[in-house]
Amino acid sequence: MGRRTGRLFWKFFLSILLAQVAAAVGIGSVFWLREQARLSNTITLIETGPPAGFMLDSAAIALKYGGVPALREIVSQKGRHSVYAVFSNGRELLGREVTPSMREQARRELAADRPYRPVRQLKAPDGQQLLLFVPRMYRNAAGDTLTAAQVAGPGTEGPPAGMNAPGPGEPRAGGMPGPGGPDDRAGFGRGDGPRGPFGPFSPMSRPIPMLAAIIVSLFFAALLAWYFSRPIRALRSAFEAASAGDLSPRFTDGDRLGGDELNDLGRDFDRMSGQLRALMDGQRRLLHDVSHELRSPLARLQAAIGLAHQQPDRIATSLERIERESVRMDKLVGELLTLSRLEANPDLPKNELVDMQELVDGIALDARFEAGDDGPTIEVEIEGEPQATVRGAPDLLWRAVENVVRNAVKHGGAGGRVHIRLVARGPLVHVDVLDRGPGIFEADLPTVFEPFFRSNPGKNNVDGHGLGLAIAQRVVHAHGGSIVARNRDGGGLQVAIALPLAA
Amino acid sequence: MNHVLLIDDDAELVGMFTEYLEQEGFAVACAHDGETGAREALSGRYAIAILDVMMPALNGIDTLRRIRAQSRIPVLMLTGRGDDADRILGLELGADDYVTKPCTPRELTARVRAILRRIQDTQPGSGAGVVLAVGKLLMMPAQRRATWDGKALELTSTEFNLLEVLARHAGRPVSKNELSEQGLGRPLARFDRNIDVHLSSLRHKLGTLDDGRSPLQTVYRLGYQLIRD
Repeated sequence: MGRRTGRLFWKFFLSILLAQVAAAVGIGSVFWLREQARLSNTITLIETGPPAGFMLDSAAIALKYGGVPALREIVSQKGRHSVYAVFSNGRELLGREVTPSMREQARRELAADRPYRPVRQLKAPDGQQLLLFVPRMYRNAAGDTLTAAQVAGPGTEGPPAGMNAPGPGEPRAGGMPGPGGPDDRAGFGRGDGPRGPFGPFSPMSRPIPMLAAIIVSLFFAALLAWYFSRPIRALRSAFEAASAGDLSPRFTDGDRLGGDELNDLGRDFDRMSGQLRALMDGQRRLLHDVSHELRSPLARLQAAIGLAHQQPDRIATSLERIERESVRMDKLVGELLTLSRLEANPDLPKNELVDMQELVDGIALDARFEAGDDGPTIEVEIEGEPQATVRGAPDLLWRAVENVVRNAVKHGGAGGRVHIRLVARGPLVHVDVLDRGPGIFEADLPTVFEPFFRSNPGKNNVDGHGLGLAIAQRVVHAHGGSIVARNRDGGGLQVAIALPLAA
Repeated sequence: MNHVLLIDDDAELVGMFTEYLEQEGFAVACAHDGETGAREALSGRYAIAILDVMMPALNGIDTLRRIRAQSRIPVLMLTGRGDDADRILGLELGADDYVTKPCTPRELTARVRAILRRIQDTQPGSGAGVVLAVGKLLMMPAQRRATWDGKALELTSTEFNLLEVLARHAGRPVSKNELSEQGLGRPLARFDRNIDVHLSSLRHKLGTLDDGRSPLQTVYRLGYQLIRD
């Protein structure tokens, strides 16, 4: 059990982990690709904002009216940013370092349509072509300003510059907040550069968040896997207990599975096991009752045989007794078989049309004959439509009504009159069997249709086994009808059968 | 002393048993429910009562309880086969023996005879005045009286018989089979717990030895022994 539960747990665990990894990779790629797309369109080495535009404007005017010397003056102004003027031969006006990638990007930007025209191509009065732009400057720990291209390092230069000199936005794709300013990887790239201020993450601290992320991910995967496999484990143990014969309810509190479909499943399981339990208890009780019921005729049979041995001259009487007992046992077994057939398969073929009036008349005739002259009178009363047909199995319906009538004659016969009332009303036909006998204790009424019920256990009657009404109930139920027993006002019992009329 | 009282709710069966027992020379009276059965049994007119356990209303066990509250009349129980719980409870309550139902009338008669013979064997005349003394136990089979440490013991006839057998063989183990034959008047059946149940209730009724042990000891594989000290 443990092994299989574990397997389920691991399946959940791995699936969740896989889902997490897939989600992380997916989201990471989306961010990365977007960043790439942004980077390819963004100038990272050259300032593009309005200040750069103004600076370039003023430089252009200086060049126009003051020539190169005026430009030189403007360009050589110290500040956070300064204008670079590059001659077509690649030399900068003040001899400052201009990387090829910077020039490359400047040339690209010249062609691109930018709102503030961050790169200008100007012609000096002496006819020299000048490329003007404002490089993006970073300040290092020493207070020196460096161009972004210098920061990126010589080893990484070359088009496209954006790929190798990541902007400040990129680290965010990794899910870790960047320092907002220059990326730590810039310092990383320089190798020996002063990197502390470039970000809180030293190269050594890099795996720790990764590790933390992995551990958290594993933890959540395990937690979720445990959470999902727990109710299944509970159900599993319930099933195992059930297969071992323990059918007690287990999910009644509703807490063990959580309030979802699995909870419903648990409730269904409880309902199922409850029904199984009731069924098994019923079967066990029936078996017990059957063995007891069979024991009585067997005891009488043995007694009769013993008498036959003892008094061979009176063997005829003994044989008569033996015969009587065997007939009783046969009847009991027959009734039991009918009962078990009805219980095992309530969908018996019942397609014939049965005229209830004819059926009731026939049963009354039989009952009158059996009761004899000194028995109770049996009356049949028919109300409403005389034509009352029921679709069903005629033999079973006959047996059901006959059992009820016999019961009335036997137990209510003392009242002198058994009344059978047939009423077709609406979609139902009602067959009421009424007597004026002693009736049944109110407490016993719910169990009157159970097998081996006996209304008066103090009085042993060997002719009945208490199966007649049980059979009647099952037949009526199999026909979609209902059967109720109630005590009548003024004494006696009323058994009311209602059956649906044939359409 | 051959008046038999039959207590069973199955009138027809009782009728046949009556017929059979009468042919065998018994006088038989019947009761069809526990209530009248107990009353009849306590009337003192009968040598033995045959009691069916499965009876509606007042069942056999309750009837037996009612009888044993006032009388030590021998009681033979009729129990359903397989109802071991009923059987053991019945024996514990002081039934002398049991027969499983369905049973042949011959078997029933034999059991009744065995019980009655045991009692009649020890009726006055057979070794009157003999007193068996084992430690604190004093038994007077003629009067069917027994005392432990001076206090009278309330024993059923079967218990008395078994204790008598043990007392006669005090100090050495008596096999269960011997106990069954001499005490119950029949050989030991397989899986028969009768002797064990009777001896267990005897052990409860007898006091203890000075060292706290029960005077009735189980001897493994041999049977039971009444300790002579």
